Amino acid sequence: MNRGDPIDVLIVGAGASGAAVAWSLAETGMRIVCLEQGGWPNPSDYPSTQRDGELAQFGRYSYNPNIRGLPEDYPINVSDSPISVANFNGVGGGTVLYAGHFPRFHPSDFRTKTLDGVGEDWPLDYRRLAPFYAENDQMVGVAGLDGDPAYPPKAVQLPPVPLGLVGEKLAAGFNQLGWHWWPSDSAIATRPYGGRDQCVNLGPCMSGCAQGAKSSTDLTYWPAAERAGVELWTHCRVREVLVNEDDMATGVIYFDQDGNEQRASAEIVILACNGVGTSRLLLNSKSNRFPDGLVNRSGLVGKNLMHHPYGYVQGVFDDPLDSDKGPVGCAVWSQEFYETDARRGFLRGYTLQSSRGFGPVTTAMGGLQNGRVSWGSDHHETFGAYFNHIAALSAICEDLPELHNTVTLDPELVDSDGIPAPKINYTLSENSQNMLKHGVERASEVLRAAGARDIVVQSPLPNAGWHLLGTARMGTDPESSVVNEWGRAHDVKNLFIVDGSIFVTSAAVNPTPTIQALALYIADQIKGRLTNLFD
Amino acid sequence: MSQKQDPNFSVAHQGFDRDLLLAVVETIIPSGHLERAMPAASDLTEFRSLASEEALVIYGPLLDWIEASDQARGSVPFVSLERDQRETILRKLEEERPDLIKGAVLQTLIRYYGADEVAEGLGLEARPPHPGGYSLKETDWALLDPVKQMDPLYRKADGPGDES
Repeated sequence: MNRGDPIDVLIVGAGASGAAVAWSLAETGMRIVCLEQGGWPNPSDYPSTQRDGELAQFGRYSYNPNIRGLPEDYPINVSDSPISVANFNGVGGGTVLYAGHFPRFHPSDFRTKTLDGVGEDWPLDYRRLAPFYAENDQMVGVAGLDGDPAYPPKAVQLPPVPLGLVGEKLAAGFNQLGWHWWPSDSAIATRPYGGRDQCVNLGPCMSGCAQGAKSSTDLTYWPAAERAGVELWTHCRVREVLVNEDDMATGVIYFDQDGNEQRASAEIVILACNGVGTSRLLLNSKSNRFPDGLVNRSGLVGKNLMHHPYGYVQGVFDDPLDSDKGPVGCAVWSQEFYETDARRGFLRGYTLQSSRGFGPVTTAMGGLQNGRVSWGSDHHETFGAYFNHIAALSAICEDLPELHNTVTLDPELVDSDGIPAPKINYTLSENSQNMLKHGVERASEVLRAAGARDIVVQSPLPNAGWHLLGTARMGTDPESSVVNEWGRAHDVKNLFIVDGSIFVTSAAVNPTPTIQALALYIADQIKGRLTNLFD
Repeated sequence: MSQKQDPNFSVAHQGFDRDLLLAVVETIIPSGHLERAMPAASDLTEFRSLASEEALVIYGPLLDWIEASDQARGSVPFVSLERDQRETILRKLEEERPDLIKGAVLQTLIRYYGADEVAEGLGLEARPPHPGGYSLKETDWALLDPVKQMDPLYRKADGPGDES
C-alpha cells in the first residue's frame, strides 16, 4: 500500500492502548495505520547493556521528557504541579519505561459514587471488562500467583517474580502485623513466553529491558499487529485532527521525520496518546465547529487530570539485601488499605508496593540528597550501611477527579515542530494528602516490623507522574463526559479515544492493564457495530 | 591521598592544578574498607586523567576559591595540609557557600562509583547487568500461608447478577 491510499482506521500513538486496539482490529481486514511520533526503541542500546548505564536513567533514558529532551519528545510545563509528567515517546510508549506492575482494578473502582459518594461511577463494570483483562493478560504474559484474597478469582500465565531478600523481608513485616500482602502481578516473563526470553533480574526495568522479558508493546502487540497487516508509521507527529461540517473526522495533519507537513485521510480516527497527549491534540484541533478544541462541547477535555500521588518510604536494614538486583518495582504488594474505611480520615484507598534498591551510583546520589551518605572521613561507613541495605514501600494513592486539575495549552511553549505544548495545573486534594499521610505511616510501620533501623520518606514523590488519567472521561451523558460508554466521542461519531484519558476514576493501582483492557473492549465494540458504527 | 605522581598527569595545565584537584577529591572520598579495600577517589584514573577542561567545568569555582583562600591565609597550602585539616576547610565552606561544593561532591560520587575498582571493592562484578543478569534466592512461599487464610478483601460492586 502507498501512504496516499485510503485509510480505514487511523490510530494516533503506538503505546499501551494504540498497540492493543490496532492488534484487535486487524482481524477486520481494514487498512489500519498507526502514526507514532517516536521511533522503535533499540534494546541493545538500553542502559543495562552498558557498564556506565546507571547514569543514562538521568539523561537520555529518563522517564521525564523534559530531562530526556529527545527530538521526538515534546516539552511539558509542570511549573504549577508538584508532580512531573513521565512518559516515553516511541513504539511501546510508556510500557518501554514502566516497572511492569500489572494489577487490575477492583470491582469497587467502577462504582465510587454509589459506594462512597465520591468521583463518578463508570458506565461499565468489572464484570464487563473481565474478559478483556484476561485477553490482555494472555498477550502480555502476567507473572503472579492465583488466589489473592484482594481480588476476584483470575488466572495468571507465569510464576511470580522471585521475592528476593527484599520481598521476603517485607513479607515478614506484613505477616507480623497480620496485614495482607501478595506477590505482585507483573508484566514480566519469568519463563520464556510469546517468543520472549525470561527475566534474568537485571534490575533497572525502568530504563528499558534489554532482555526483552518485560512486556512492552513493541515486543508483545506490535509484532503480532504488523504480521496481521497493521502499518506503523514512525516519526510522524500529529498536529491536529480534521473534521468536516458534518462533525465527522476526516483525518489528521502530521509532520513527517523531515518536518514536512503531511495529511492523512481516514474513515475512523482513534486517539491513543494518553491523558496529556490526547488532550493536547484535541485542544490543538480547533475549528469553526469546535472553537474550544475538538470534541470539547462538554468543556471537559483536559479537565479532571488524575495522577496517583506516591508516598515513597525507604527502610534501611542491617542485613545486606541484594537490593540492587531483580525487577526494581515488582516483588510484593499489599491491598490491606485499598477499600474505603472512612474512619481513616479519607475516602477510597491505596496500595502499598515494594521496590528494591539501586545500583551504587544511584544509591550514592540519593543518599547524598537525603543525608544518609556523607562525604569525607565517614563516607565509606555511611555508604556501606546504605548501599544494598534498602527495601522500600510506596503508597500509590487513588486520586479523585477534580475539575481544577487540568491539561491546557501553554501560551508560549512549543515542540520542535512548533506545535503548542501542554501545561499541567495540578494540586493535591485534602483527601489525597490525608491518604498519603496514612500510607506513609503504615509503610513505615511495616518496614519497622520487618526490622528497618532507619526510615527515609519522600512524599509526594515529585517525579512520579507516570499515570495520566481522566482528561476525556467516558460516560453516557454528553454534558458530563467526552466519550460514550464504548469510547466513541459524543461530538464526533467516527472519533474514538482508547487511552487513560477516558478513565472516570483512577483506582489505586497502576493503570496499564485497565487501559489495555478498555482498548480491547472498545475494539470489540467497533467490530461488533461495523454496520451501524456512526449511527 | 596517594603520593605517587603520574608523570602523564602532573603537567600543569594553564589555570588548572591537577594536584589540587586530587587533594579535593581525596578529601571528599578518602580510602577506606568495605567488602574489600576501597580506593581513594584520588587513586582512580577517572580523576587522574580527567580532562582539564571538564575538570574546570565541574571543580573550577571550588579550586579557584581554595587557591584564593590559600593566598589569603598565606600559610600552608591546601594540598600540603593533612586530610582532616582539608576536610575542616571544606566543611566550613559547605556551610558558607554550599553552591561551591555541592556539584563537586555529587560529580565526585558519580565518577567514583562508576569505576571498576570501586565496583570490585563493593563485591560487585564490574560488568553491565545484561546479558549475564543476576540470580535471586529461591522464594520461601510458606510466608504466604497466613495470607491465604484471609477472607476476601474486595467489595463485590458490580450491578445485579454480580458474579465477581
